[in-house]
Parts: sequence; C-alpha cells; structure tokens
Amino acid sequence: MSANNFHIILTLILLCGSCVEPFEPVLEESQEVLVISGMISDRPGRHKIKVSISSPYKEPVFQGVDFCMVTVEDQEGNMVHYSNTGEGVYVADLSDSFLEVGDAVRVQVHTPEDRLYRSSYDTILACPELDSVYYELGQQETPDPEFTRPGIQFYLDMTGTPADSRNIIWQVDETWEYWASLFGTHILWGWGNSEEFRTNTIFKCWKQAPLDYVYIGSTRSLSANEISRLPLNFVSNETDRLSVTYSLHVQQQSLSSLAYDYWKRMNDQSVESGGMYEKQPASVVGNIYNVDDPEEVVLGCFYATQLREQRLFVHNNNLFDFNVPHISCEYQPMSSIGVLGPDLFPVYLYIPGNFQPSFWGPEECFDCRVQGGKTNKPEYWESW
Amino acid sequence: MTRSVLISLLILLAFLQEMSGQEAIINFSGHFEETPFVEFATEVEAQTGTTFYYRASWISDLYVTLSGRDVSLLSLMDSILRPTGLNYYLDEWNHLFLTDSVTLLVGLPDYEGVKETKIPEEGEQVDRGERELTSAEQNYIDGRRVRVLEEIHVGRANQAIPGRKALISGQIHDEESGESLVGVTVYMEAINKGASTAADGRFNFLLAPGIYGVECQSMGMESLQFTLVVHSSGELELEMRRTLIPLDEVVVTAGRRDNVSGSQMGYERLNYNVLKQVPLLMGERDILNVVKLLPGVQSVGEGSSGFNVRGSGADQNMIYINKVPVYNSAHLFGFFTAISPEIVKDFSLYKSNLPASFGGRLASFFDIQTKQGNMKRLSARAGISLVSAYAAVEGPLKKDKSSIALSLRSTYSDWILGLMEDPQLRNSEAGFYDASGVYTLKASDQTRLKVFGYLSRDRFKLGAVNEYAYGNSGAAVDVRHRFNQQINGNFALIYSRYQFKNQDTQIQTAGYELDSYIQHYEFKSDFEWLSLGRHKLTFGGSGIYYRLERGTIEPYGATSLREPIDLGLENGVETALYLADELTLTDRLSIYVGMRFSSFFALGPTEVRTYTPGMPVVEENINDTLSFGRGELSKAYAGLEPRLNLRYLLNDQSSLKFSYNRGYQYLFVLSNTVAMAPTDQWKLSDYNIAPQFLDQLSAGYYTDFPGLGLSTSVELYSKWGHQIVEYRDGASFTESPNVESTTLQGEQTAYGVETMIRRDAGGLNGWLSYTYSRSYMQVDLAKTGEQINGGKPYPSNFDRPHNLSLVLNYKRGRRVSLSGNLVYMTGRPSTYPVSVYYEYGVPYIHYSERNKYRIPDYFRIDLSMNIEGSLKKHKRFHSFWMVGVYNLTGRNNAYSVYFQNESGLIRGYKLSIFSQPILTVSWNVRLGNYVSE
Repeated sequence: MSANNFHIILTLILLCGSCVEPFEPVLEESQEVLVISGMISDRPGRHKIKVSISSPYKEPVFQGVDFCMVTVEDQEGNMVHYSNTGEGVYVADLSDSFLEVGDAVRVQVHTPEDRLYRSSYDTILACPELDSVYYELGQQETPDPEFTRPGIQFYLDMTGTPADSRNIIWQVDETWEYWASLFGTHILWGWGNSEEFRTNTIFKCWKQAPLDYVYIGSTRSLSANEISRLPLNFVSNETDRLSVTYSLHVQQQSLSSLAYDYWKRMNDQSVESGGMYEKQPASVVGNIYNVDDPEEVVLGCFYATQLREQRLFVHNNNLFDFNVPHISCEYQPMSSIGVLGPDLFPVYLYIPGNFQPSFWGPEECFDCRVQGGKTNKPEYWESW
Repeated sequence: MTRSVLISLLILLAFLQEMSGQEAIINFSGHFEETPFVEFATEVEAQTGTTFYYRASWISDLYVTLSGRDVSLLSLMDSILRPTGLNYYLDEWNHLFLTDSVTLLVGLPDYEGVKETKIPEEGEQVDRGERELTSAEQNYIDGRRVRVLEEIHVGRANQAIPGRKALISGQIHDEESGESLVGVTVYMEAINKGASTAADGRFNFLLAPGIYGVECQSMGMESLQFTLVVHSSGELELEMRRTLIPLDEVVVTAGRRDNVSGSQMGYERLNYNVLKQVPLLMGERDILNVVKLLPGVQSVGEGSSGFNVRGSGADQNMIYINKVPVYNSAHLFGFFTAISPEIVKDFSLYKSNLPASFGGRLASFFDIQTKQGNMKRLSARAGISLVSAYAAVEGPLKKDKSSIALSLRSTYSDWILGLMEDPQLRNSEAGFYDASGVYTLKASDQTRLKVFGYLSRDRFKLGAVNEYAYGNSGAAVDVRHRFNQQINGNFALIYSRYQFKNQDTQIQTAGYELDSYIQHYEFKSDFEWLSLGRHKLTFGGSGIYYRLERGTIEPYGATSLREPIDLGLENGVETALYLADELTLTDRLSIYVGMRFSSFFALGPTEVRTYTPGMPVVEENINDTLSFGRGELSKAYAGLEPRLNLRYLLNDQSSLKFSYNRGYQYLFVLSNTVAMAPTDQWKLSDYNIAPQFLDQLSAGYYTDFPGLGLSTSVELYSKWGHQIVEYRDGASFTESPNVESTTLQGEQTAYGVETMIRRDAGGLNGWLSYTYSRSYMQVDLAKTGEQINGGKPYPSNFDRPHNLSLVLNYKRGRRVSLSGNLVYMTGRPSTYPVSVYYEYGVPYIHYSERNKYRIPDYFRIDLSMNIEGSLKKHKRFHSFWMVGVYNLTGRNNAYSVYFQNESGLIRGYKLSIFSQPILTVSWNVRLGNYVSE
C-alpha cells in the first residue's frame, strides 16, 4: 500500500470531517511538449506509434501531430517505415519475422519542423506465460456498512522461467454486449410522419473500451518469476456490463527494466499522487530525446515487447447470484402518446396488427446505440 | 545549607512565638451553596461575633460554596476571596477588614519580634521549629509583616581577600516541591548584572565584597527580593514560593530581563502552564502543537509528524527528553506527540546560537525536562478526553531526599474507527500508549542522581492488508556532582531505541514483513568551571554508538514469493569534544566562544560499493565492492564546529546580539515524501554518503517596555546547508540496501526575519509573532552531472514565506480562563500540472518545475476555555473542564493539492484535514486544590 492511504485513515480516525474537494489550480503557463509513445511486439500484424502534443490542463485533448516521418530500426540497420493514418497515428503492418526476443530497436521521428527525435534502444525480453485470467463472484464494500455491491473480480496468474522478463505491463480492454429493452415495428419521426421499421437490427450492441489504467508488476523481488491472483478490475452490477456477455482482453507484455521504471513512475503519478504522504510529483521522462537539443523536454516512451494475450468471456447465463439491470422499459399505451412535445421525437411504436392493442415507447428502449454502443458484432465475439 | 542564611524563617519563627495564644480562633459551621457573600458574612457574624467590614461593590458578585462543622474562618478566607483579589485582616477585636490592596496592611501593630533577627554564625543550625505552618497562617503572618528586605550574608569578613572578587554561587528551589528552579532571573539592578539559573537551579556571580540589592524572578513564582551582603566567596540557597494565581502566570518564561540581557538568541522556553492554556486538538495537550506557534517553527500540515525549523527538514531537529533522544516523536503518525505533557516540566527550543555542548543536528534542539517528582508531598492527576486517558503521580519516597514521578497515557480510539464510512477503515485498528518515570535522589549536598525511563508504543492495522507497530524506548542515568565550589560535573549514560515493524499483504505473492530499529548508546559528560574571573568555562565530551538495523524484507504469508532483501545493519560511532568560554568583557559586552570537534566512524561489518568517479552513482557505474570486517573502519568523517555569540547592551532596555554556528549531522531520515511518513527510516552517513553540515549566522535586536510588560525581539538569520540529502524522483528505499543510488546531496539556503512581541504577565498575556522566511534547495552535481529540477534552485518543501501567530490568554476571575490562537501561513510549495498528454488512451500530467506553485494559504483560529472546580483550599480533589474549539472558522485549509486520473479524466483535488470546527471536551482531576500540581 502506498503511504498515502494514511491520509484518509488518519483524518477519518479523528472523525472531524476531513474533506477532499475538487480544486482548480491557478496556472500561469501551459507547456505544450512533444509526446512520442508506442511499442512494437514480436507479433506480426499492425503496430502503432502515436505522436502528439500535450494539451493545456484545462482543455485536455489528444492533439495528434501528423506528417512526421516515423521509422523503427534495429541495431543492424533494418528499418520499418510507418505510415501516417491521421490524428497522430502511425502504423506499420509487419510480416511475421521482423523481431525476436533479444533484438533491440529504437524509434526515430522526423517532424515537419525538421526536428529529429529518437528513443534509446529497447531490447525485447521473453514474456512469461499468461496462465489464466479468471474471475470470482464477490462483494465490494461501500461507505454504507449495511450495503455491499455485488459483482465479479478479475484476477490473473502468470508463470515465467528464470530467463523470462521480470517486469510486466498488462494493457486491458473490455467489451460487453447489451440489449435494448423492447422490440418495435414502426418509428414515429413526428406527428404524421412514421414509417415501418423493425428494430431487430438495433437491438443488440457492443461497447469496447480500454480500462482507465494500465497494470504493471514486477517479480524482481520475488524468488520465483510468478504472480498469482493479481487483482484486475471489479465489475459490479451497477452498470449493464454483465447483462449479457462481458469480455476482458488482457495483453501481457514484457518490459525491460528501463521501460518498467518508466511505467512504474507513470502509474505512481496517476494513482498515488496526493494525500498526506505525497511524494514530490514530477514529469516522467522516458527514453525519447531530441537528437540536436538534448535539453528539450520530450515525453513518452518507446518499448519493444513480447506479447501474450488472453480473452475471457463471462456470460450472464444465470451464474450470478445477483441481478444485473438491463435497460428497463415498459410499453406505453397509445392513449398516453398525446402528451409528447416536439423535442421528444423520434419514438418507436409497436403495432402487432390483428386487432391487438398497439404501444409506443421512447427511443432508448428500442435503440441500443443510444447508450453509446455499436451494432456490429466484433469478430472475436463468442455468443452463448 | 549550613552557611546559608534564611532570615525569613527566623522572622517567622520568632513571630510565631509571639503570637501563639494571641490568635483568636474563630470557628463556624454551616452549609452554603452559591450563597452571596453578604449572606454568608451575616451568618458568620451571627455565629461568631465577628464583624465584617467591606465595600459592597467589591463583593457584589462573590458567591460562597462550602459546608462543614467548626471550620476555621481564617483558613477559609483565602480561598473565598481569591476570585476577587481582595485581602483581609483581623484585628484583636474580631473586626474582619476586607481590603482591595495590600498597602493597607503596612503599619499594622505588633511586630516587635522582627527586631530579634540575627545572623547565625557559621555552623549554627537554623531551628525550623516543631510545627509546620499552614499556608493560611503563613499568609496571615506575611500580611502582618513589615516589608523589610531581608539581608543575606555570604562568606565571612575575615576571609575576604582585598582586591579580589568573591565567587557567589547559589541554588534556588521551589519552596513547595523542593524542585530546583530553572531559568530564574537573578538580577542586581544597581550594577546591571544578571544571571539565570541553570538546569540544576544554580547560578554564579563574581562580586566585589559589598552590599547588593538582588531580585529573583521566575514565572509562576513570587518575586524574591533581598539584600545580599558579600563578605567573601560562599554559597547561598534560596527558596521561591509559587504565586497562588497560576493562571495569571507568565507564558514564555525566558524571563523579562533575559530577553535583553541574556545571551540567548533563537531560543524559546515554555513550561507546563503554557500547555495548560493553549487550545487543544481532540482534547489532547500537545507539546509540539505549542512549539509550532513559535516564530521560525512550521509544519508541513496538520497531523504531520515532526516540525520544520527555519526552513530545514524535520530530521534536522533533535528532540531530547531528559537527554534521551526521541527518534520518532509521533503518536498516530503525527496527530499527537509521543510524550505525555503530564511528565513535562518545561521545554526549550534552540534555533541558533547552540551551546557547544549540543551537537549532532543542524536545525534545532528541542530539550524537554521532565518533572523530577515532588520532594515534599504526594500529588496525582488524571484526565480523559475523546481519544485518550492519562494518569500521573509524583511524590517523595523519602522526604527531601528522593522522589519519583510517573505518567501513563493510553488511547481507546478503536471505537471511532468502527464508525468510519470507508470499509477498509471500519476493519482497522489503531492505538497508542506511553509511559515515563523519573527517580531523583539527593545523594548529598554535592550529588544528585536522576534515573529516567521512557516508553511509547503505537500500533495500526489497516484492514487485513497492512499492520504497523512502532515505538520508542529510552533510559538515562544522570549524575550531577559538585566537585568543589568552582567545578560542577554532569555525567550521563543514555540509551534510546526506536523500532518499527510493518507487514504488508496487499499483493499476496509479494507479502512482506520488515523489522527495523535504531539503537543509541551514549555517554556524555559536561563540566562547568566558574572561578576564572570574568570567564565561565564549560567543557566536556560525548560518545555515541549507533546500531542501526534497516531490516530485512522477509516474505510474509503462506503464499508470498518475496525474495528476502537485507537492507543492512549499520554500526557507527559519533564522538564529540567541546570547550567554550562565556566571557564578560565589559558591563555591556559579553561574548561566548566555543569550539566543538565532532567525528563519525562508520564501522563494519559492511559491504560498500564504489562507483566510477565522475559518473552518476547508479548501479550501472559500480566499480568495485569493498568488504569490511566486524568493527573495521570503513570511513571516518570529522568536523570543527565553531560557536560564537556576542551580546551588547545598548541600555537597560535593549540589546544587540549576534551569533554564528556550524554543525554536523551524521544521520538522517530516508524519506521521499513531503511530510515524514511512518515508513521513513533513519540512516547513518556511510562510505558513499557524507555527513550534512550547516553554517548559520544570526543577528537580533531586543528591547523591553517594562511599563507595559512587553518584550520584543527581531532576529535575522541566514543558513547555508551543505551536502543535504535529497531524493531522486521516484526513489524507493525498500528495494535495495544501496541508498546512495536513490539519493543526491545538494545545497540548501535559508534566510528570514523573525519578530515577536510578547506579554508575560497580567490578565491578558501571550505573544504575537511574524516571520518572513525563505528556503531553497539546489542539486547540481558538477562532478557527475546529476541534477534535480535541471540544476536550478527550487523552493524547499518548507518554504512558507509569511507566517503569523497570535496566542492570547485571558483570565477573568480565577475559575475561568480563555485562550485563543490565530495562525496564518503562506501555503507550502507544490508542483502543478502545466499540460496533459495521453498514452494508450490514459491521460497523464506534465508537471511544472519542482515546487513552482503554492497550495492555498493557511488560516486557523482556535479557542479554549478552562473551567476550574471550586477554589476551596481544603479539599481532597480538584477537577477542571477544558472545552475547546479547533478551527473555529471551519476554513478548509489545504493540506495538499493533488491531481489524479479518475475514469479517464485528470482531476485536481484539495485535501483538508480538519475542515470544520472541532469541539472537544476533557475532564481532569488531581489530588489537592486549585494550586496543586
């Protein structure tokens, strides 16, 4: 645990209303600096490097830098050229054998302003096996002692050989399938403007996002190159993530000790700052530098890694001992539709015909995309 | 006290004989509850035939509460009248006169006995009489005594050596407890010569034979005035009496005249009574919270352990309790101080102008003296507050010969944790206790022995994943011996230990346990040599053996795969020799010159790394590993520490002072946090880490306004710290025993001006201080090219330029007193974001230069009220309530400002520790009456 946890504890011990409140700093400056970040793995396929400029604290946004010449080269002079796909993203589609464990590579970025940036060489280390990613049903405690939040806690186990890297980063992303609540047959755009529309195509959605943080770990201080039950994220029943199928994708990547130190400090900075026993925060400088002006502050880190990955699916086939909320709606009788104001359109109608009663309902009950998901099913998806 | 003469006793005895049989015994019975004085008087008049004379306005709001049978009226009058400040006397015809001023008493009849005063010949025993006087009787007698200054003769005329001055050495005791009185000002106005008593209550003068008017003053004591007739060298012993109005006492005891005529600067002394008054946090009296109100003393924030003196780190302060160094002064990680105030007699803080006998820390010495135990009678105290309870007892083992004092304190705070919202906290436990004891033996007139023991323990369990336990223990045997009239010696054997234990099972496979400690064994001797004309020599030496176990990180828990890491056992010896002379050059100019020679020897068994010269001290540049056997010297360091101080009296009321000192420090705390954290470890200087040292210059102007009871001071200082240890960004100390690769040594500069106005006496007393100070660090190592903040100077974590404290105590009547403080400070430096960037979709912060910004300013007002129980003199217990409000205005003072990633957004937060007013109540009880200790 970080010593920072103490601040909460101690102040609360005293029960005297310590408080944490939002704070807007008064800043005299905005230092926008170049950021080069990316990695390359031993896998064939698409590799990405991003070049960006940091943005003012008050308007945080990813500001990509385009039109750079980006190359990755090894110590023998073999080179991979990246192409710019816009928004600061540079990609290279590699055949299977560019990199192997033991190779050292670096990135070079030549900007349109004719400045040349390089990283130091980073060596690919062997990555331990990712044994398993699994979950357990659990309860998360809440401020109310009487109430706990049910959900599932993910863990992972990893076993490496002594020759494998001792330092690991896990990049985790989640995808989940969720459904709209009701079926409709027609869409009503406005008074007197309706068309037939079967909502089957917008009934199922998938949402995909990286987790808000990366996990890092090291077995440097352990006798065996093993990690078991490393806690990942907790997914509670407060969102619809577990309503149908949830999938966790874990990419385990080996890190050189230099790259590990970088990510360790990045992690500390983002999670462990502040509090009673705060450390002096400082910008984390990685392995990128301006070739002609070493004094220039350049952020980011480029590393080379061996990649292991696993994807885990969790189906809500009555395995949970708790309820997961779906989008919950009820058909409204047609008699109530008269109260709709013009800004509430469109709404959907359910007209079964055959002299059955008809109903209506608001958009979010029929169209899963309103919640932000997409209707195209990912290729890797495994339904039940 | 064979050769000393105490005339007052004789007066009393003679007088007592005269008046025995003469004093009317007036007894009465009855039950009075909040009875107006008029009614009370009428009743007493009816019962006893006494007639009261008074002015109605004097007693209009005086009420009497008492009950009893055949109570002596005279013995009660004192306590009845105390709240009013009135006096009284009774004449032969049972007329009882209340008076509003003592002057009325002058000229009373029948004091013929005084004329029998005589000076006993040498060796003659002073007859103390069979019967002890009650203090009521004493007051009665005193009231009737004509204010004739007593004459005290020292030496014998036939021993006087013409043309040579006589050495007068004296000792002052508390008449009631027999404790020697420290810091009493002994002053001879006519020749403008003064001294203050040392730790054993002693003082010395060199005087030409003659007659001198002497006045002794001390906080909480009645002023003692007498005529000193000096025949030849000799000794005198004096006793001072407590004033009966303790809440009226002086707050800062470095007495009124000390401010100007004493040589001290950068020095503050406070006593137990201040602790009694200053508003409390959670009902806990706390020494360090009071110290933080003094000029030049700051802390990182509320509830942080340690304090910062003149812009220096907290590990540069030495905290002594009866010479035992306390390596961690925090209870509950810093909310309270690990020393119970109940054992404290007084404490001094030296910020500059260190005496040569002190060394080993750069910024300050905080010297706590405990009670030694009342030599005359038993006393006890106890109290409870929201978080803790204490009890203290002291008394003679053999009257006037030996005594003990004991104090115990313990928390019961677990119940509060049970109420917490945070689930982890609900399952946590915390607690502390401390105990201390003192045994004092007056082995002979020349020898006094003091044995002291101290213990503090803290435990903290956070949920199921973290457990901490730490504690101090210490002991000292201190012998003071007077070899002869000129030479005093002080010898002490000291032991201190701080231990820390931590179990962490946050990640099961990485669960670990760490056990560490530092042990301190010291022998110290100090001598004073007094008979060298204008010189006062002090000299001595000390040797400390440190054994510092940084501990081994051991796997903890069945599933832990931790590889043990031995952080190392360190051995070191620190020695010091010093010599200093306090020289009075003229009546106006005095000078203190001292030299201390300190050295440090880092000893084996140890393995040290050497690094390629000119390259950064990191793993990649290791040159060689050297092995040293048990007791083998791996590295020695030594330094000369000059101490110089000048005092020039401009006139009776003002003076100028100047001082310079250098100090070396051979150990430090490994910490990479802004405030001292519980996991911080001590570390000795070693092969790769050289000792820190510091130069300090200070100058001050001091002036008093006796008419107003005000004393003022302005002090300027400038400090240059060298080889001060700073931490590389992201340093972690539990991963490797090689600290040198996680630290850098830089230069510190600090300067400031401290101003203070204080009023020590009167119904309204306290102080106002304003400090402007700056403190900077710079790490730019030319040799290896290593830097922090690009090699540019940056404000240290303790750079808080403006600092204002106001402490006021106001007494209304004797049963109620009010106190308040006001504190304003510039916010401490902090590092803020200057932009935001993204990696893999996660936002991160690009930070400004180190400490470029400041968190919001700090402002707080506290109030407290003491309500004393009844003022009856004769009662078994006295109780009082303390009610306080901390942070009256409820201002959300920022403790820290930080920025973190929350659900993909960077957010700024301000943490406040006490964000609303905190009301606390505590109840205290002690044996005896209002004035008992």
